Amino acid sequence: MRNRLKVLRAERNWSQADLAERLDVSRQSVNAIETGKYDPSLPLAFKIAVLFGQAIEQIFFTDEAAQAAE
Amino acid sequence: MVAATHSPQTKRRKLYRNLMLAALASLVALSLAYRVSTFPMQWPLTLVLIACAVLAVVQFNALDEVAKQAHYVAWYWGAMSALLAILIIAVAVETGPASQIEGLLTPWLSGATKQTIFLTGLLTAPALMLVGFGGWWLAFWLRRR
Repeated sequence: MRNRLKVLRAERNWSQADLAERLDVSRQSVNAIETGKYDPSLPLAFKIAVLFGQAIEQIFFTDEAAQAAE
Repeated sequence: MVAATHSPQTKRRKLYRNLMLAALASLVALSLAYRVSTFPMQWPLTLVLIACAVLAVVQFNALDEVAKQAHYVAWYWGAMSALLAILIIAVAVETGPASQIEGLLTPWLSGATKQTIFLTGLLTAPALMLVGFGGWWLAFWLRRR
């Protein structure tokens, strides 16, 4: 899975720690999700989507979809 | 930049972690005191052990999902690896030459009571499982830095 978390975070000028606080997770968890090394659960994905005001599929997408877009 | 203040959940996690560290430090201190003191330490030790068990549950429930996943993965693979190592050691001890095994154990357990030998055997398994857990836990986070 890939995601646009880093871009969305940068647009708001939030650090990983800021985002972690808003999501009630640790900074390490945000980093793991952001770098694609951990796929969040559906509840956490929804929480991220609500926080950024976007649909889940606008934030998270498969490797195939990312390659097709490139 | 709009910095987020520490959420109540983050504060709770830090509190539980610090309480757990304090409880573990107390456990070590009481265990060492047990060796030198004539005071009956079994009750304070039991109480601290119960506190550790309760705190472990509370602390685990407060972890975020990635930290919980790290614990699941580390406990499954770490403990399984340790159990496999224990079984290999058990087979080696059972089938290996008795003189070599006795030679290895004598410096460690010469003069030990049967109770000490029993407890050593009993606690070796969870100790190895904890080592396995620690290794896999560390690997989980290093791979996700």
